[in-house]
Amino acid sequence: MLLETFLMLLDPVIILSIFAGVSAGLFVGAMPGLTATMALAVLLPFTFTLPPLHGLVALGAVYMGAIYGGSFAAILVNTPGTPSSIATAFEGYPMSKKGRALEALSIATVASAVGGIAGSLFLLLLSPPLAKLSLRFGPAEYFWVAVLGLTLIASLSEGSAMKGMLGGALGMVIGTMGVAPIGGETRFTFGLPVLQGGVAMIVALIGLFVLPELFNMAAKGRTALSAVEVNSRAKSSFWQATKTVFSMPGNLIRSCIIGEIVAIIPGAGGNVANLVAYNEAKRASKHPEKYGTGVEEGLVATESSNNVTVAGSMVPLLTLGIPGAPPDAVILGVMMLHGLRPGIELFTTSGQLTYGFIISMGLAAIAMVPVGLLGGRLIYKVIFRTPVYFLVPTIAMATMLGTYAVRNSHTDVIIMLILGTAGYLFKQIGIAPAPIVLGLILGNIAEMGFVQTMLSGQASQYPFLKLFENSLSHILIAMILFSAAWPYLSALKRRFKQRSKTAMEDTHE
Amino acid sequence: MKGLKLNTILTLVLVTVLTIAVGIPGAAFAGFPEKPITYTIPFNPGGESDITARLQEPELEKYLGVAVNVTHKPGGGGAVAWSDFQRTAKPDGYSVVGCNIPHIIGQPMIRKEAGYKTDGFKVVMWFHFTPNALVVSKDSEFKTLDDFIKFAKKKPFVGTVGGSGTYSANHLETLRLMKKAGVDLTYVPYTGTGPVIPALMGGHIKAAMSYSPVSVNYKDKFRTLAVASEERVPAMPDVPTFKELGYDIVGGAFRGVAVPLGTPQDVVDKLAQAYTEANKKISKKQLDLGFVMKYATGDDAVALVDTMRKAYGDVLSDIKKKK
Amino acid sequence: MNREINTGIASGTIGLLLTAVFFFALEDISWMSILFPKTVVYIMGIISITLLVLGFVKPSRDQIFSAGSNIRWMVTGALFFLWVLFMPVLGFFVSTVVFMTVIVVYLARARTQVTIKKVMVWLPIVIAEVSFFYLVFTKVLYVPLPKGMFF
Repeated sequence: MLLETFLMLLDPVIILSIFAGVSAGLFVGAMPGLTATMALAVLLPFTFTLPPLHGLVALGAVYMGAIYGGSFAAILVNTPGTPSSIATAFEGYPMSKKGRALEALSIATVASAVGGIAGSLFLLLLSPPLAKLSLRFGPAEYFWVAVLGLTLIASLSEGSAMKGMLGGALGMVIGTMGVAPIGGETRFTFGLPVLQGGVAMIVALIGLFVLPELFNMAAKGRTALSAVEVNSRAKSSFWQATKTVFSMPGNLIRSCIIGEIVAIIPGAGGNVANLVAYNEAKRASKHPEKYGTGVEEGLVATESSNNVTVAGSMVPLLTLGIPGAPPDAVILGVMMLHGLRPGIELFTTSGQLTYGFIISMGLAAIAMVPVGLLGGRLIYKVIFRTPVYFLVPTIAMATMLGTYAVRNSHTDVIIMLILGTAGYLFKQIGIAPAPIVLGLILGNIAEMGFVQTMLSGQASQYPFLKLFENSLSHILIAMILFSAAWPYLSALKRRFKQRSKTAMEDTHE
Repeated sequence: MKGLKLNTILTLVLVTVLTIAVGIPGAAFAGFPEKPITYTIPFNPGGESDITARLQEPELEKYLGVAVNVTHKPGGGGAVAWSDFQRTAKPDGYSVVGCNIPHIIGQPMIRKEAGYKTDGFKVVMWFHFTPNALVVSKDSEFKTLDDFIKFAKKKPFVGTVGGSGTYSANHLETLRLMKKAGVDLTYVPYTGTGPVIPALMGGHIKAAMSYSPVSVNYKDKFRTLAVASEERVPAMPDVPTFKELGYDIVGGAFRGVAVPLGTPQDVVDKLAQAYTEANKKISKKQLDLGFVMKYATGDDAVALVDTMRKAYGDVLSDIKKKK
Repeated sequence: MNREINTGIASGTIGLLLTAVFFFALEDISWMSILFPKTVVYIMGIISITLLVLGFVKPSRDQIFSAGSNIRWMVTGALFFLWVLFMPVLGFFVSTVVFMTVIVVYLARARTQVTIKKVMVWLPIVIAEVSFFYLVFTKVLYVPLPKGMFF
């Protein structure tokens, strides 16, 4: 049956829509502010005229391309194109600064393709057990997941962890502006009706990451990209990049599994997965102190994990009808319109369609390699050759357009500029943008989980005990404790090693 | 010269065909519409409002003969788009916004700065209704509404009912049920209908007050105890209404479109006709999904807002008093 | 000029200021809506105070605003704000063409001699660029960009 389905996909129209979808997605992803959700929403009307399979294939390809395209902006301008490639900038941009931009792009391409294929395999083979796992996440578990995510701050803040925590807290406070997710009243609107909508995460992301970079360029009068590409021929080739990526199988497997687990938690997607995978790669690394200077491992971790979430987040979508990430809501809408009801029967009665869709996402991941290598080189050349006095206003325009398009809101553009300018000042005194954005993403999840848990416990005298009720919560709490204690544990380990070393030297004397 | 003639003939044919097809005198064509119409959805893509708009879009374009661009302006449960619309939209019929009952009734009453007024819209039409439905998981101990009420009487506040949003149709309906049945439940709001579903499947809530499409789409996983419509919903004929079971509760979310106050009446009429035609064309698809179609235009549309304002007035003023 | 400051004290002070702004905006609304914001505002206050204390106990001094010309980024930033504020007045297209050209000319002065001839070359490039994005957004993506007095 799988073979039959595969042959069905070899239809030229389908192959064409995969390539077109990936290319369109790439463009959207590379523009800061244009998200995968928006790309899918724009594409939606076109798919009505197509048969269900063609429509779903095109949407899947755009989704895949968009998440991957975010890495381009991250690597070349230190600006995550989508929230899914925040951590990509941590290693990719330093590589570009050192004249290894093309190499970074190639590695990101191969890692993304591997992640995309891994995600489709998870979806194809492990849907039922993963779907069961995703249902066990209730409000209390959400709260703990968010707290676990906040422990990432320590490793995300360059330098002082306390300053990182201030950034995280500030992000959470900004995230609470607007209508309460639970309770429905407005907070921190300062008398302005437009602030009811709060600060959209993506708006803050764009401001905090792009503007400091633009100000930097303006102040210095040049881009930070290295003028010379070292070894452009040898290092950037596809085979070289493939070798690099597969030379770290442990990292690759770990990042894919992290991506899949984050993907099945409804509400969290590539935006959280890439940060967690980065953090774990750093933690497992033999030389964590080198992170932030252009380490390939970090790049592989983020780009593979975020592309796993594309197909990975469709596990709860296809089996239970629960969108695992925002773009999935659009895909659910398309399925409903075509009368496809999510559930196990989707795999049986409309099996060919479902399997066709799943396999096509794997094909889209493969299609990213040629499209990405070509597109990457093109974008690199454009950015490289454009004089800085054109680059700054052009990026600024793209940023404003992207911000505006998030909610068709002029106010959002002003908010973006204010946050970005503040972000530049913060950066000077050691508060990095990443913890602020992380606080913004996780603050919302934490608030919802916390208040919902308290509500469910209304009948008991101590509602907060609900937070400690389930076994999954216990596992998460253990992970939080471990994660928080890790810096001390590793310091202890290092000291221990050193001591035994000196002890050995002593005996030699 | 030849080209010009051809053009004139084409235009003539087009006008004739349109006139016959639509069956209204040519005078009504005076002007509107002659440029693209912007149709703003105040919610995220993928939701019921968005899906409906996407279905309507091609039908509207066919009828009106101009492009209809669907855009999204989510935030604040719709309030961001609505306050912006009432402040800036021009009353020329080219800006149309989707609006929902009870959102536009509840928000201005409860919030200090909603930024818009319930009566600050000229409602073109309410085109459908998704009644509230009380659903439980298939393997739940509650087989009927009676089971659930009995349980709630025995164990106050233990019965957790999930739903989409605060002061939403789901929330207000749960409050009304508590009042009418004399029980205490705990309403747990979620940020949309989407997250309610896994919460119910995973057993994190005892029941959910959701909308009829949920009952229809998840009928193999959920059991619907009762639905808050006047009559049984066509897509689920064996589910009783609250009314049949002795609770006078009819409510849910009404979706429609509005233009700014002061839009010329003939423009509003033209839009209403377009939406009516579109609604007829898409009704088969929507009925299957569990929607109840509505055709409330003109005075009927205004009356509907008043009826629902009265229906929810009690619980809303209770909330206000508590604050 | 030496712009070295104690960043611990600086960040603590800014943190406290922001805490104050949000603390005084806390309103008396239902516990569900306010519990979490209140908690995080308090947490932010505690972290800020810790930073201040640490700043005095273990001062860490860093260079700030040390990269390139400060005037240049400030002017660029101010131009960004004007650009956006004029958008609803002039419309997206006109405002963008005007301010992009101004920024191009301003930043180019740092690197090359700006002549009328050069500007005459740049202007069409800017217009072409803006037209491309304008058309993509309005015609393909259906984003209703701000309209001004012209279009």
